Amino acid sequence: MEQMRKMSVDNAVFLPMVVESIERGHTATIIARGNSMRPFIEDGRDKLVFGKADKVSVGDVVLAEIEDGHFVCHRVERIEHGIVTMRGDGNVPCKANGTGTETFPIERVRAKLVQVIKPGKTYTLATSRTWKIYSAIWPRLLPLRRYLLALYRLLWFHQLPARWTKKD
Amino acid sequence: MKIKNGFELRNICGEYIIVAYGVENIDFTKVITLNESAAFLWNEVFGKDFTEQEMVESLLSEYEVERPQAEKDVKALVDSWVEAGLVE
Repeated sequence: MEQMRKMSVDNAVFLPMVVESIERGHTATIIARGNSMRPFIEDGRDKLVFGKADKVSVGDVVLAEIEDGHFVCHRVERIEHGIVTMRGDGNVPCKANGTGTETFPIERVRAKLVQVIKPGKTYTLATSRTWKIYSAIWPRLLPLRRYLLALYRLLWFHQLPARWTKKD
Repeated sequence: MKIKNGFELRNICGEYIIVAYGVENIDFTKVITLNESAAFLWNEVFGKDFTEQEMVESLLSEYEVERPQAEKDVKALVDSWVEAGLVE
């Protein structure tokens, strides 16, 4: 059998193929990339299973093509007059990104997250109590999010903020 | 033998990958890739019954290769497809 190797592909090319399979009635599993859905979902380690987004509700995590070729997977914060606002669990509002959210018409939602597969445990979001509790609490902690995420990085990754410099 | 129903070849960023549409969940975290000549042979035999011998003839007509080498390569390729569950 051939050997295994890692293949990296641009999202703008890869995700339309993933979306196509969902439109054909399948679920699709991909590897999570990026830190914007911390603390629950971790870059490179966790797998995400997407299904059809027949109904989108506040609190759902969806994959949306916010601009042609630009895909983002975050949590729905608000839906108003057919316009969706979503925010990554790991994103905080700051000077660089304003409110820290994405806003777009609901037609741009392409898929819904249905499972998170972590090493050792698979969470089916519709029925997982852990996910429901986390989803109910985490968005409410937005005012504290910056500090909680910093604590998360420190404890799990032993990472200090990049702006701290060592005394010489 | 023939390629099982549901498997389709896709070209993504210059790489040929096989997507398994015959199953409910499509696992994009583990895909099978084909190199260019394997992809050529896949397209030649896709959707029809074929034999290794037919594949060898296709390969010889398209690529600069000696017959014994072509036979060896086709056998290895078909073996790997059978092992991966792609053909019946």
